[in-house]
Amino acid sequence: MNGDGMNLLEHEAKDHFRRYRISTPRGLFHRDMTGIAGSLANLGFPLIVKAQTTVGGRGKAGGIHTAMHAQEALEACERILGMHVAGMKVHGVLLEEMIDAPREIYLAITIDQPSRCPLLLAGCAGGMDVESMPPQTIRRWTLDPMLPLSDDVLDQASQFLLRGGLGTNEVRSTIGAMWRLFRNMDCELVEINPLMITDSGKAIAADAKVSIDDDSLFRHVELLDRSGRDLTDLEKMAKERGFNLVELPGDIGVLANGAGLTLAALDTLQRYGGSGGTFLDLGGTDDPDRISEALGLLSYDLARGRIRSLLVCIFGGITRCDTVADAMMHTIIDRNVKARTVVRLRGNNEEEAVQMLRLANFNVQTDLDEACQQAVKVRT
Amino acid sequence: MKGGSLLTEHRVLVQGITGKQGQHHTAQMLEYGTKIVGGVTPGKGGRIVHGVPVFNDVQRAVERTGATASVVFVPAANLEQAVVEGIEAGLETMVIITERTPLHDAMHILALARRRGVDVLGPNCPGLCLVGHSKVGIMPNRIFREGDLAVVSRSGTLTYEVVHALSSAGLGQSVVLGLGGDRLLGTDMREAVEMVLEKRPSGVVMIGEIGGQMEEEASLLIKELGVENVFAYVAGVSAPPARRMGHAGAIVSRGTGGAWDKIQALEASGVAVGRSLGGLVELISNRVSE
Repeated sequence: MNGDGMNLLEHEAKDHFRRYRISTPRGLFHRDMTGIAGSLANLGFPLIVKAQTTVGGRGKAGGIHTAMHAQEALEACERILGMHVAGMKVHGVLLEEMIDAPREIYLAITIDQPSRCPLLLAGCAGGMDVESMPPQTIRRWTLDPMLPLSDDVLDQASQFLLRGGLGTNEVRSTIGAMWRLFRNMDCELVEINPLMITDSGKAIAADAKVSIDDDSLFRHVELLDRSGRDLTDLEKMAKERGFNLVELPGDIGVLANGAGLTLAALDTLQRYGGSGGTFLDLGGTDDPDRISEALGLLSYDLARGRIRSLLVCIFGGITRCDTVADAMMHTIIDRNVKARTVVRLRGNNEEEAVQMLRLANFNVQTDLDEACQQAVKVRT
Repeated sequence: MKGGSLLTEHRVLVQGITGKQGQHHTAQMLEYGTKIVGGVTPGKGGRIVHGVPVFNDVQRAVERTGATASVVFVPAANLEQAVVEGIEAGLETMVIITERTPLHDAMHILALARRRGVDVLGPNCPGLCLVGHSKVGIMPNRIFREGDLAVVSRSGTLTYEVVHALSSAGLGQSVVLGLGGDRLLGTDMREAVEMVLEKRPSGVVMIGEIGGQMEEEASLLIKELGVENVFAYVAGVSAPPARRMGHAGAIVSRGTGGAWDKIQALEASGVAVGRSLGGLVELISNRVSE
């Protein structure tokens, strides 16, 4: 359950764009209503009020509003600041001048899994439904990660989009700038949808999506405080302790080692009518303190009633079953918590661990299906 | 063929041998019978770890030991440099255990390796086992049983789980390949399946999970070659659809990536897909054991 990288807000992405000489509309960001009236006067009308979120779909959710006068803009700001998009709260509004342009195109650089290379995508038309455009309107170029962007690709892409018409050079330099940003900032995605081509041939990025690889943040420490801003309190607590924890809609907490096994446990719960509420991947550790810490996070979630039972599912490789058993005996002492906990162990030192836990009155299983049925049953 | 050298026995170096993980798994690999001939940690040349000599750089280690492969435990921040060093020193195969490799570093490493004809497994993989002969990586020693099945997997513990269950059911393996959990991998599912078929296994077991297009691509190959006795399990049927930003992902993936997309693609190619872990082992047991 890895995320798709750290998504910047539009206004942050546009700060990067300007640094790389990609033109953007004149705009001002506001976290809340403070000072908005001044920005409205500064920008003039009509202007666009845009929800700042780290997830897509804000347009369809009503997070973009074109305002003709101050009263309308203020109302839109108020409404949008209180919105959630795809369950995530809006982090602010971007007020932007309207750009009038006869032509809109689509540009993106992303990472292509099959070729393990960057991929340039260019679409003759931009917009909210670009993924359902006919395939011949979108072209792709696989780029060499070891080399500078070739003139050939720049020529082909700009020619494909504008057929040598007004703005061809601007599109060319926009793609070049996107490539430099993509490389320098460890991006998973740099997307402009749409790129406006004005009557005078200027290329202006009306929207900006930049996603940065989480695993590269040690090279971009200035961005560290932005990672994790959409996490819940429990997810933040877990992250600070170095665990990958995701809150899910169901009511059974799952602690397992390895992402694949955790997914398999969640799938198995579903087969028996249960549903995962917390996903915690222990990773490869044999440190009893780490295991206790992870158990502590889920016991807390159980105690506050967000989840109603707990399934610990371990395959003992690096993590030995008896280490887990030991940690459980020391961490889960409360009778009510114990009664709603099911442990499923397989692998290294399985027999000792099962025996220890049985003696301590834990519900211990070795079969995954049986353990999942138990975890569904002991919910209270 | 690409990947051919992964399935041969090598003289193996451990890059990052003096770290906690490196030391522990060196001992485990030696116990399994792997020919671990040297280790590399810059600045710690001259030491000995579990009887294995440590060198300051890969070049020297290769010259002194005749190593042809390495298993890499160095931290992500130093990985690119370590892999470049291995490639420059002429290694044929590199197995990368390191987790959390930046994607751009992975693109560089994998592009360079391909250019030089070096086979890479990983990053973020548990390694591989030529059962009964050699284990390179971090899989637990005791889960295997000698036999004729081939296992290829994107997961770590889920692989151990399945292999352990197969062994307990009397279904032995000749090769187990852990491809890794990252999005960018040196060897993907399609390449791995193609590779293990050279070993003429009695069956191929694929363990996939949600995300990416690897299972879909492998299923195309299976259909094309008309391979029989292929079994699969795909984890993540209950996972909510991935939150996505932007349109590029949707343009590139068009109807692939979800657990059901993968299961459908596999079944359309004649692969028997187990709907649970227990179900998978039962399927294999019914078809292969006689």
